[in-house]
Amino acid sequence: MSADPGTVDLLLPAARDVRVDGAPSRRVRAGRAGGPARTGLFLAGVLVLAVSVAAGTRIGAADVGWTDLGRVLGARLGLGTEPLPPLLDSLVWDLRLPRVLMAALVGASLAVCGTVLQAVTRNALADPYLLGVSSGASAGAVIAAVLPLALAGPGAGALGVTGGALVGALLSFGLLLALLRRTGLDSVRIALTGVVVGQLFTALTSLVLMASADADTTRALTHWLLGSMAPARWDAVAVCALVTPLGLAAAWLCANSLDGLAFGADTAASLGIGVRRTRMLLLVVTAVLTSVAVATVGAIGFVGLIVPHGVRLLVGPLHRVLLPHAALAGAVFLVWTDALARVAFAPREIPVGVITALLGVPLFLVVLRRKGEL
Amino acid sequence: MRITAEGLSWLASGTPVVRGVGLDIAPGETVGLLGPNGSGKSSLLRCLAGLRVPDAGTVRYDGLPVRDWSARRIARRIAFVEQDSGLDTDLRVADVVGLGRTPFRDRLHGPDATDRAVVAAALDRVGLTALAGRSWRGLSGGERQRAHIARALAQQPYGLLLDEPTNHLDVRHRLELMELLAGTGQTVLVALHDLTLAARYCDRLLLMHHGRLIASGPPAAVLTTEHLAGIFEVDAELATDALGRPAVCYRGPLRPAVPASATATPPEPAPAPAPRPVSTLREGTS
Amino acid sequence: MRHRARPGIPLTLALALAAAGCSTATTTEDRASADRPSAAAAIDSCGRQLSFDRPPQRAVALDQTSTETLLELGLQDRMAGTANLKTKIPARYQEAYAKVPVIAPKIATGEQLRSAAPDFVVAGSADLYTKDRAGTREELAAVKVPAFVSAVDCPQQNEAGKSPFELLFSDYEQLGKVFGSEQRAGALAREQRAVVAKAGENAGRAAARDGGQPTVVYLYSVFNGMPYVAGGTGLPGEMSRIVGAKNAFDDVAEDWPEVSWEEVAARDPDFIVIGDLSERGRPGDSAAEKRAAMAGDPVVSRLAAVRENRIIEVPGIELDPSVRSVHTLGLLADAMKDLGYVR
Repeated sequence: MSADPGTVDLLLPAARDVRVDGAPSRRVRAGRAGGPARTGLFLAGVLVLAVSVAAGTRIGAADVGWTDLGRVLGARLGLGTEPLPPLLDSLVWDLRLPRVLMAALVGASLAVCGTVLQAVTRNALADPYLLGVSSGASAGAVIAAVLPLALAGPGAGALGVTGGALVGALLSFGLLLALLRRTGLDSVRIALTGVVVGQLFTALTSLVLMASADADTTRALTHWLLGSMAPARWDAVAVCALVTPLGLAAAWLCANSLDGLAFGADTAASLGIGVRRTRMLLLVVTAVLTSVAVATVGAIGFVGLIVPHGVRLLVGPLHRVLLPHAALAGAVFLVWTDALARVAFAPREIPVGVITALLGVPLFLVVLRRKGEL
Repeated sequence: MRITAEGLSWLASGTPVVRGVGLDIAPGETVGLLGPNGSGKSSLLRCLAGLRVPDAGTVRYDGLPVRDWSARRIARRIAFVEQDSGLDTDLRVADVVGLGRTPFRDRLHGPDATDRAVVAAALDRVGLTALAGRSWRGLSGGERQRAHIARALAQQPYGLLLDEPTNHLDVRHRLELMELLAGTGQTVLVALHDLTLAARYCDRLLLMHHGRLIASGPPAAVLTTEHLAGIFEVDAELATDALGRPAVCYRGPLRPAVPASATATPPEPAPAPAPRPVSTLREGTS
Repeated sequence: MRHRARPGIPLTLALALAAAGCSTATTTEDRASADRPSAAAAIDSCGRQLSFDRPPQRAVALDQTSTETLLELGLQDRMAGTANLKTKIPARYQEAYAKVPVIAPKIATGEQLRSAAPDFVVAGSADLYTKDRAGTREELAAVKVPAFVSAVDCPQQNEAGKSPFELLFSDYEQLGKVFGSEQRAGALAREQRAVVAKAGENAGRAAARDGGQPTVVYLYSVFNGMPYVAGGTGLPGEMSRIVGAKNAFDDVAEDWPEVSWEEVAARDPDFIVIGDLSERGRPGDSAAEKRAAMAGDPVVSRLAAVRENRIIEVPGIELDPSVRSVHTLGLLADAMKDLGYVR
């Protein structure tokens, strides 16, 4: 326990102006991939995502070749290639492409929300729906579906469900904030209040479903509640493409603070982190990201739970590194599970939430085992 | 850094926990904060660290009131080590110590070479260099405690506030830790349960009881048999060590009354059913 | 269950089909215009104007009722796909049905529909045109695929009080116009109108034993032990009116409400119609099971209609509006006579 003789004691305030250059102590860096290796991993992840999106676009009810994909993109982007027949072009451009991009955006969004909420609530079981947002969205969607609003005209039904879901999600989050106001936003309280709000809106959903008793509506909503990428269109992609990067950036800017929260509010605050402000900001960010995702494609489970754990195993728990990798992994995971949902039981298409759960459960067990917790 | 407090009070959901505490810790002074469980030590430390907003009174660093300071500004002056929360995290030891660099980093940047050098120095100072790459969940209680100290040192603090940092430590590490704290040359306020250890290493001791500061002064002035009996409720005698500091030799917990059948001591009036821990009563009757 | 549609239609085929569907203006092949050669047509279907440069050659029917209607009109050669089969296709359509590919055994997705390269889409219900199903009618219009919705499932377009049968007949005529098969469609409408008229012949003389109007309960299915009966908004109410009876659950504003056996007993109908769904094959679907359920209920088993076996079995699928519904209407009119409710 002594400082190196002949050098400044780096642990004194007087040493704050000292700048150290060059390679740091090797002993400290041992154990996990360092800077360049990590950058390499991230770039590899970006590449995998790009390939996944391209490959995912080929998979579905109709096989789409690379040249066809090129022709669609070429024609749509004005590169003067010969377009495909209109219906095939529409299949790729109007349905497949937005769907795959939506999967990537929603996957990234859910994985990051899960990572953030696991840190904020210090609960390994936290997922994006912990705040009750998905229950709020379901209640909103169900109410919109059974209200006369849905009958306003053809096409209004679908819009009503999406709009209702968004309103419901934001309302449930508003209720959560109202219940949490004047509290210190401590971890356990956030989780418990989220569960309570979720239960309330779940009960509301059941009530409306029971009262309306329309078998077709019920079936349609069940499909939606499980989570399905089928309704994804360019308008939804545009909303997500706007909101998701903003949310991810906000979360990433809080990365240092998220690390500090690992030892609780007091230690975090003593490290100079504005704990309440950070938690509030992150709650709002995750609630908005989750609401937008749920409103369009339903409550797709397990992505936000399993991906953070898996990625943490790979790149470690420091959020500066963890968050971008989780985003990439979530995007790749959902692009492929959705592709599987399209073809696994063809010609029937199943909700992607079923696939994520089927794959998520065994993956989760593997992660727990690797961490020595099972 | 001089830490002062005037008329400091803090209520926990309406119950006063810290009552009208005034103190003045000189730059470079190592001060021990003593008191039985529930005397308000932890709360006082949190008020001084800016983690609780006092309901009355003022905390000053070098004469400046800190009430409106941001958490970051405070963190650049003072480091705080709470009792180990025992959380399982996947963070490595070096990552945890690296958290101490948070107040000096902006949102956009990760650790740089300077941060890593400071972390290495802090790990070295507490003797954990060999465990730098180890996962937090694999550490013993003592190793965790030392890692927290290293994290606080990595803050390059002007002052250190520590809440029972010697918990979980074996004798050797206790002594090393106290030596290290006393040797930083910075202002240190440390809450301790080990009275002899406090007397051995602290320049001055503060004694708390029921939220009030009831004694302050050199170890020999604070550690008196009256205080040991009246406040800590122990039967002890005081010796003096080679350095002239008081050392406490315990005889046992203070027995306010003993049932007649239990011992041969002269009978006393039947004891009132005092609100005393059950274990104490059992010890008394055995 | 095996179906004929393959998991992924190879692109070459899809391309060929798409080319066939989209360059028809220059194609001289005209296989099925039985009535007359191609001509432009425009119809109004549930709030959307659908226009056709020439009769569709690659129509897709999104559900069973649409499929059967198109097959009844003899359009199997101009169909590119069917989907969403609820029960078996009746024997008389089997041969024609076998010529048409099944693009999805259940509800078709937008991708499956587009893969079939349709130039016209027909659905019995507007619900099938949502983003997570076949895609909205607007989306289909954007790729020049007109999307038809049966008038039966378009309340906002219908004149109040128009009989569901009339709505069905208007579908035939609309589709006839689109496909250039007006003669065959007109004949079908005339034929079915005649069945409806004949079924209503004795309505004025219908009477129960007490002299009032005979009441009837339609038992559609039994699920989890609970009966589902015909409410006031479905076809059975109208069928009852035509033959001079009264649906006992006309006051419930749903197509097929779930009620209790006690409530069935309380309505004490003069006779009971059982929808036989045995082709669908789920528990409780066959007529025998429904009879057993009624016989097993302590209260319902004592109803006069049950004790005296005043029970009629009809194909359950025909109780929903379709090209086959007039068949059950005929059965109903005959049963009224047989049970002695016609003076």
